[in-house]
Amino acid sequence: MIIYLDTETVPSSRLDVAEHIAAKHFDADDIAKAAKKAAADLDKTSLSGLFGELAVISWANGEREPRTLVRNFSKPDGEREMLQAFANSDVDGDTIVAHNAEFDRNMIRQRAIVLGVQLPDVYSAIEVKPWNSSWRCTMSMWCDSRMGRVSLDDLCLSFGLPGKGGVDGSMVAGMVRAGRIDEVAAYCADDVRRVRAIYQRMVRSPASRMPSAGDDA
Amino acid sequence: MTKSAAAKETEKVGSQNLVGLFFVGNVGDRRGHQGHVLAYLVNGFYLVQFFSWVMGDPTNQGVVRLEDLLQAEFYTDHGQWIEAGENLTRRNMAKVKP
Repeated sequence: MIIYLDTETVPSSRLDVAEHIAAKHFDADDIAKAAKKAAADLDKTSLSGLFGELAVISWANGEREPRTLVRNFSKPDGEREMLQAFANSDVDGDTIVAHNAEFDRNMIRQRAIVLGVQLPDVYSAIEVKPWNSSWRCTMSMWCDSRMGRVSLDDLCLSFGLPGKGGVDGSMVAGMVRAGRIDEVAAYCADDVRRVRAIYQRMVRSPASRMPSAGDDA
Repeated sequence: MTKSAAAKETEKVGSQNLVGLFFVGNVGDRRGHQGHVLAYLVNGFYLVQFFSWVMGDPTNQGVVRLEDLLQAEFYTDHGQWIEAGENLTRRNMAKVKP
């Protein structure tokens, strides 16, 4: 079974983390500059599972409609509950496909460690290598390199698929704070559909020599 | 990562324009503080300067959540803020008198 996956993340909501980052940049002579640097660093915490937090997880099993889990931000334990619900769901696939898969894989794996959630083995594996991995990254597949980058939106445009409609991952935190979590969830589920369409287009292309789903040889 | 205008706009919702205000009161678990909101960071966090009740001089800077900050009373006018702080001190002193 192939699982198509996407996550949305937000910066740390922990006061001690914000204090830690603000203290790093403290400068009594230039408060504005220090605050700007602290704000930038705090914002970037959403890019890793060290301090960043999961807001939404969406996935689709094969051709099924995506399932989406949304964190309850009014509960202190909301992120852990969401991740536990994910672990308890039908997410143990042979192949996991995501765009910039390393980000989603590490975010889920690292947050599970921090929050004490037991995940299926495919999500908790470390030192994942292209030649023995159950993970497929549409970004790496397109670039034919683990270093290359291409946005999902640009791939959609190239393939003639519906794009992201002006939303991107950097807007998620603001949308969550504005109470627009349902829009974030819909955006995340749409990304799963986009990843699925792009992956299928790439592996089925006559010009492609990419391995088929589940073919790890 | 470049943020679009829409992203910046949505991030500001509910948290804008406390910067520069003076406050008196409870801030989260910290009871009876007086301070000055220095800057907005992100994700609902503010950088604030706290002041001593006794001498009125700056003590430490800290980071507070918007939700915690909104428990306090805010003042745009420095004089009104000083007066509010003195009134709160008088009330608290009256409570502890036998």
